[in-house]
Amino acid sequence: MALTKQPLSAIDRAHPAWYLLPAATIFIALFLVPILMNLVTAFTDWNAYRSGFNFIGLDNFVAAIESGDLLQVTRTTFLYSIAVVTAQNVFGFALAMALERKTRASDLFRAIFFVPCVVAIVVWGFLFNQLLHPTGLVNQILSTLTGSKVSIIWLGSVKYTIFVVAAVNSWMWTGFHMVIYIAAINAIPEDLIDAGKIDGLGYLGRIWHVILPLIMQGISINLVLSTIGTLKVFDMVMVLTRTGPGGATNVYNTWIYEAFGQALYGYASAINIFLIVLVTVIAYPLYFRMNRRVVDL
Amino acid sequence: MTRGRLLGALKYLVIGLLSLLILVPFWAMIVNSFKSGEDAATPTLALPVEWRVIDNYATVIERGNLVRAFLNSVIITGASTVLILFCSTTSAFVFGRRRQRWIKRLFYLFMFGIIAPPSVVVSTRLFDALELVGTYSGMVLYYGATFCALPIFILTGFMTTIPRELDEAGIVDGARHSDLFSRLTLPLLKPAIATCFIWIVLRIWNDFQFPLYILGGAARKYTMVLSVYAYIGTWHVAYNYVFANLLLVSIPVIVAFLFAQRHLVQGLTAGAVKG
Repeated sequence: MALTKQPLSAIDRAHPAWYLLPAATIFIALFLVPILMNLVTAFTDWNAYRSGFNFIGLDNFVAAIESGDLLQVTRTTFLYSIAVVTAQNVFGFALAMALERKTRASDLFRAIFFVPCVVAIVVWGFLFNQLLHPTGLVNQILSTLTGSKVSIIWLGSVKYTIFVVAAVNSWMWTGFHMVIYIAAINAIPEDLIDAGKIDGLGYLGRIWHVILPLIMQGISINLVLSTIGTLKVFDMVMVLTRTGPGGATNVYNTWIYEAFGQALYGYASAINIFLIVLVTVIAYPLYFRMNRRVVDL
Repeated sequence: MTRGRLLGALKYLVIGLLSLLILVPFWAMIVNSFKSGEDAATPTLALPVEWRVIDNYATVIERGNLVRAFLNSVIITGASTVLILFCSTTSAFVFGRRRQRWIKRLFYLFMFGIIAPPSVVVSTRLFDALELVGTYSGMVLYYGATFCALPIFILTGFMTTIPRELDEAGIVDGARHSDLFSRLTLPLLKPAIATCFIWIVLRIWNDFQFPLYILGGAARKYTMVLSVYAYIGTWHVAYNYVFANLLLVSIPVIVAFLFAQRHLVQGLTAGAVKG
């Protein structure tokens, strides 16, 4: 390539490009090539019921839109994403503010809040599926606390169950975001906080004028991670609600799995494209904002 | 002063109550896994009327074929981790040092892999055509392709913080690229490798989505996490067994967390404080 015409330095020669081969081969052949193939198969009627396939233009996309599923799934995925990103970052930051000083007690509480996120999502999904049962533990505890019988059908609402899923997911991941916020807060030089105190700022004033502007890096990392993660959600929905009631909590990845299960590969490919484009378009700008500050290439 | 003390006490009271939100579900999972079937039919926080510890766990391990599932998880997670660490250290070795345009472009291509979800439908059919569905190698290759991007990003970022003078000194001393890689770069990358190692192990051990596609119906290759799936959609679920199974899936990662806590948290936070 013309670009490599300039002579290689000693350092360049000591880091030969063929070291890139293992990663490049596997990534290109098994990650990028399937995505490129997906760009083709999305325009076909490929399925498991007969061999070969025909190009059918935009039919898959039209079907996804006309069935109303695309709108519904996009709406659900977005509601879920917005709810989770907000909850995890607000509560994660609040916990971080409460536990930022290193003491024995805060060490213990940090570990407690963090530990759910190392356990498989499937475990929590399954556990909460049971705890949120109409006669389950959550309603039992609420009944005891309020003194009257509570029997909320947590997982049976077409309108609100997606927020229950969001709550369980946030329950699991808030400690993770807390840890990142604690690191960011601890990196603020002490004298800047003191300067805020001398200037007469109260607690909230210091948060708004001193702390938040100085932890932008931590905020953007947290936002990127939670945005990417929530748009790709699969496990939690699959286990906690199994997309119910009546498909009301169906998100992109469970929709793809459903179409895959029906062996409608062309249709599933089309949905997969929607997801890839959606995640890329939303997360890429966010990600590069973060990237600029993290790695100086 | 007393007001400050009071506020401090109040804060820990609130935090303590909030931590119950985490501890109570854990307790529910543990205590109900020790109960008899009818006792656990409506799980409560009460201690078992009749303790069925060995009984329940022996049944679950045998019925769920969990020894096998554990080995499957270890094999798949272990081999994938080795593959990913090999691919990501070798490529960070180049990405972290060379500045040619095409190398940077290739790096950004990898970054697409952090963000974009894989094309799981086409991949599965492709793997099927290559006879990789339902095999360990299929799982390992799939994870290698899907999860190598983030470690490459982390290791390259770390690599750029290592002074180039160290390489120059090595080159002057007559070190070849293989020496630079194994004797200089790898040891210096150790903290970042530890972070990636933990991230990869947790991500793959806990994964549910991709084995569901790539392992297909090959129940003998099911991982610990997939073993839980056997209960989904069954009409009558014995919750004492389910909870015992869930706990068995969680114990390895919780133990790993207790040992690696410091590493995990430090690695996680390295990115948050730069810049």
